Amino acid sequence: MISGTEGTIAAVDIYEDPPLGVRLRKLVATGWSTMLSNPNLLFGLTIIAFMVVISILTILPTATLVARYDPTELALIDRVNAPSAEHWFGTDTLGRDVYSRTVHGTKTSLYVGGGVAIIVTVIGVTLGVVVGYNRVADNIVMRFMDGMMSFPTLILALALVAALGSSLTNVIMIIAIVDTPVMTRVVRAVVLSLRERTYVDAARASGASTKRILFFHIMPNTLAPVIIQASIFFGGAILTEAALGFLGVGTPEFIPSWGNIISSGRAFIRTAFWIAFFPGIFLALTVFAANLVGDGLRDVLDPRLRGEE
Amino acid sequence: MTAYIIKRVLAVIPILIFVGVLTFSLVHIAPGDAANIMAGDYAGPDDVKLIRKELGLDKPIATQFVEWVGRTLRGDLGRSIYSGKSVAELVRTRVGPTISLTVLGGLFAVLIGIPLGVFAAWKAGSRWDRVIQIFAALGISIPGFWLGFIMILAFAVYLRWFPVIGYVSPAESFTGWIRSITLPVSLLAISGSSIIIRMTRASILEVLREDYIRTARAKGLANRAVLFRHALRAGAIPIITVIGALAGGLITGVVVTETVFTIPGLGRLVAETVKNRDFPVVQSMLMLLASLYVFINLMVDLAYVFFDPRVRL
Repeated sequence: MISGTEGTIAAVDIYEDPPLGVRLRKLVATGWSTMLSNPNLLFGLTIIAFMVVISILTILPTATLVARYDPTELALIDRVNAPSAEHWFGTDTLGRDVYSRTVHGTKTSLYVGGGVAIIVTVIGVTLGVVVGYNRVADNIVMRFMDGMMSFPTLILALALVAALGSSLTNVIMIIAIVDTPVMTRVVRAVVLSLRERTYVDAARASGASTKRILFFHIMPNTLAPVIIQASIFFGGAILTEAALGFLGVGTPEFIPSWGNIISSGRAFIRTAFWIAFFPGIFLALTVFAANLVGDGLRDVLDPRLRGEE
Repeated sequence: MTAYIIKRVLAVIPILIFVGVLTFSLVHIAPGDAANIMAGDYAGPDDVKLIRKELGLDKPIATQFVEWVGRTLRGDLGRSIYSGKSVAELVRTRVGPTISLTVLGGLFAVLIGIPLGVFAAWKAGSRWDRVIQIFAALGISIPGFWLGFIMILAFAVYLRWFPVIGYVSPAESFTGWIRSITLPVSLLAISGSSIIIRMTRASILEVLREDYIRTARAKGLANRAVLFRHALRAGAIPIITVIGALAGGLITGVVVTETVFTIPGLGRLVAETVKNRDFPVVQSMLMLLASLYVFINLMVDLAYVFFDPRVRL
């Protein structure tokens, strides 16, 4: 507010933000109404929420309520039983209950998807903002990222698995390494276009430091593309984890994951199709939901697409 | 135009150097000793020593790198620790099925994907658009290995239309070849066309929002003419990018597809050698496939020059 020398004008700052509570309530209200206006987004989020609830229930002592059996319990007498009232999805070649394994596999997939999305977002946004603002860092980091992106993704992931070995942590790390260049590129592109805006010039003219401009003026505006990209990586990571598991080099067998259950049932397609069939439905449904959320968020958050026919 | 082509071709060199360095480092980023890992749990110290010597891991790292670069440039791709066969021989015996699958899968993906994507964009918001979009969303969401499993279950195990596993070369029996690749090619075409539909629809929608499209309509041009004469011509450029994405999808897809259908191709070779941690083969395959991918993307970029006059300037 420019204060006149007379100082008689009441200093009402129209640019001052409303209190945090009001802003939050407004944000939640807009979020809620946009979600209801986009059925795909709503459907996707509902399924993801359902999977999250299942995961939480299997971690808590309530596990036997949702999963019925211990997923690792062997019962050699009950080997390769077809789906029945007792074993909803049948049993596998070691007599383990496929339904329990599938339900327990939910948390593995969400853990991988969520872990990858968070790691990629943190590293990608940090690197993207830095390289978008620093020519020297840009040249070094982006050449490296270009190199990473010259590998087909699954092939790079497989090669890293061969080198580092397969454990749940390694799987998350490896998928994150493969995805980070894409996130960095997305953020960098947004930062490059934002830094030319007049509002950034205005901030600089008013004496804001580079750090302040980066964190308060530029970073918040990368939020929309970052959220969209993160939701795509969430689904993609679940799919890649399952693919690695299916190829027999992903999450180790003692941790049930949809990928390794499907892998264990692959050879028994003639005798016991149910081992691979049911976890695949969970997997496909979750990835489909994640993609719906990604598409839905893009429709909602990308102003260019708003109001199309 | 020539300057652009030269610049673009030269840009490949640092990328290939990066690919090489990362590929070489693979053995060295392995926690513990790569020779130990490859030898497996039941190997004695002599076996480990042998492998270390075979791979040259006992020499200083700089020497190893120089030797490795020299060998790679001469086209010596190394030898499998597991089977003792040279990588060149492995590739030669296994490349046939992979070419059949990727070429036909890619071709069908383009033939299905581009028309459906254009149609969906043209009829955006209609029931047809929604159906095509749902197909594409399912195609990218349903894991290929599971869809392949379902296909085998339905068409090979129950209906018995196709063999459950295996590959017949066209030299051996043409009908046998068709029967053995129908399901895998369909699988690659479904996932490939889903990627293409989404990208094509998005790029055509973008073009249809341009001012000159409105102008074309305003001057009374028929819908068909607007689409074919104006929108498609401009939309063709971003669609070429799709081919690059498709190449990545096919290379990834073929690993999974060949494993599901038990086809002895390069994709399955990659999956098997990663499982056995057969480093020389993993490294060579990584190098080969990455170079192929870089080459395809180079070709896509060069294709711009011919389709988009703006790049030529």
